[in-house]
Amino acid sequence: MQVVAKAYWLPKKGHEEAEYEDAFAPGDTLLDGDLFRCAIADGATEASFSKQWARALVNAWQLGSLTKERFVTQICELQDNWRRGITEVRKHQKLSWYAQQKADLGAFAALVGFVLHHDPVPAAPPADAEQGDDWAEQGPPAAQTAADPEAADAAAGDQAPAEPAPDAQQLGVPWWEALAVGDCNLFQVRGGRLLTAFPLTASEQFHGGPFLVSTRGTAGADLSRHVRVVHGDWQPHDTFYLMTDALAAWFLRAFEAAEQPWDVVEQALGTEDPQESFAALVRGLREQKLLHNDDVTLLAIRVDLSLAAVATATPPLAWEEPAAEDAGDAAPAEHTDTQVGDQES
Amino acid sequence: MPYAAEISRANPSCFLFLIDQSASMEDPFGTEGNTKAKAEGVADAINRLLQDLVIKCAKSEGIRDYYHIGIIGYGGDVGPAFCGALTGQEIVPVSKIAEGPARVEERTKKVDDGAGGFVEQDVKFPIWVDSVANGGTPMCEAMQQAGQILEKWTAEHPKAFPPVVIHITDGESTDGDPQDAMEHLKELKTKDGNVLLFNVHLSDNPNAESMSFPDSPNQLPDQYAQLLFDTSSVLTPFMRKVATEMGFQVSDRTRGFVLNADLPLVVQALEIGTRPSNLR
Repeated sequence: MQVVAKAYWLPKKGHEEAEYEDAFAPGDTLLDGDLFRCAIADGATEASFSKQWARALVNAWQLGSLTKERFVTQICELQDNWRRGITEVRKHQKLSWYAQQKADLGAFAALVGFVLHHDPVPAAPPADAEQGDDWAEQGPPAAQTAADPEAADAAAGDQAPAEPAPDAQQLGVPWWEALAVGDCNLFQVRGGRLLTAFPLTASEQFHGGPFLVSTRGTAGADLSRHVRVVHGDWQPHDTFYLMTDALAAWFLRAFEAAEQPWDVVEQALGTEDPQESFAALVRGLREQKLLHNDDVTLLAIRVDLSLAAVATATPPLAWEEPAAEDAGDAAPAEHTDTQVGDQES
Repeated sequence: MPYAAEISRANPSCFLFLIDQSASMEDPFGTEGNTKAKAEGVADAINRLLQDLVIKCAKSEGIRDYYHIGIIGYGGDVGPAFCGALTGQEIVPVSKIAEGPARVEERTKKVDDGAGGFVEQDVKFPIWVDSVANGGTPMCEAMQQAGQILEKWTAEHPKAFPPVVIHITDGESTDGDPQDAMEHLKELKTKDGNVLLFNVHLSDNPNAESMSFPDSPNQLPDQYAQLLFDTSSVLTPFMRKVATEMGFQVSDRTRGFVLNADLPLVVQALEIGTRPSNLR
């Protein structure tokens, strides 16, 4: 598969770039391979060292040392590293009384990690899956959820290690998986339709007080209750967006108003200077009070067949939307009536 | 929509504490077995709150001035109650609070030992306000002084989240009826809404019935309680949310008022009045 990923970001209005507390990994990427891992995180404004914690999370996810299968255990390891790091800081820097007490309270971040697989799903779960952490398995892709609410309920309550989506397993199609804690969101757009919103599926769910991944090691049980996972299939020309909460809330609000916010995003990203166009979009939305003044991060991911396959079977990989007839051919009929709101666990 | 302004370094908000420091504050709280003077308990609560506010505004690179803070004491004198380096200052940004405690005391607190019990741990306890109790209760003068301070502050910060005034007293005014001065204080406003006034009345009677955040004057015992109820602001939606989280029953008419409060209730009232919302 070929993956093109680009990151766009902006600090809060009135803040310096150095004060931006979101994180993303990797940065701009053009990859031709079988596996792509990426993540974004939103460090909590009210904590200190949140930027560093957010970076630690996304880097670990990208490197594969933070995974869906052993998430809680691996977070505990990251927390141990964090404590050692803070101890070192204290040894070498004279922290003020308030900086010490603030550091003791810990850092916090929301996270969404995303993995694209080219190979069809293996028949058996990964070798370490049986030792995996418990979490609430999100239902299968929204199309199945909409078609079979009872099956969706059963899947949402599944505490077993992650298994690939039934359709992906049966059809042997390329697939993706994601994990989230908090209010960073993933969106999947196919053929001009929003196919997936995860973990939050309605704008009213962005209430500003989500459970976050903490540097404090005592919250493992709480953490496992708040981890959400999901998986689905992808097709050539699918676009995925990872967004921190302010942008994600706008995106869903616009979608709920029967607009197509992905077109607005793509219009900004399709210019000669997409970073500036994205920044202008964000500034404009803030001016119109359509976007909370928060750090904003967008990781836009476009996936296609490998270069060899593209050369023989499809038009060259490009950022532009596929032609209308391609979109129609690519979208399976069962996705037509997808209701994003049905996917919440 | 009022009370929705962002609180940021460019658009800070303000807390002003009015503390009764009259002679009767030397008496202990009414709660059974409690020997701590009300003045001492209130000073501890304010010092703890200032510490919490500093920590909330602390980032790895330093303090962000989300708040300006003032403390007016009234008793033998009426005026700024900061001690140490901030003596005489009416309103200071929170970074000045962070850098300027009069002293840092070593105290102990009980913490979870991880095995079902508690252990005592040494903690640093910065002091900005000392316990003071003398003289009468010149509430009118205190309210007028608060009005002058906030007239200036609201003029200088027209877009700010409105100042929150938290008034803590155990007695009745000795320099006249403070109602007009309290109403004037509440009439001050920014574009985001009027100044919010909390009245926290302290108990010195172990048999007195406490009343927390009422939404009607029906159960009030006397005219004095009526005055404090009437002059207390209706809680903002965010404050109602915080109060609900703490287990209080609230409605959209609930007032920032507690009657015959013990020290834990004072701390809860301070938390409801000062919990940061919409920090940026």
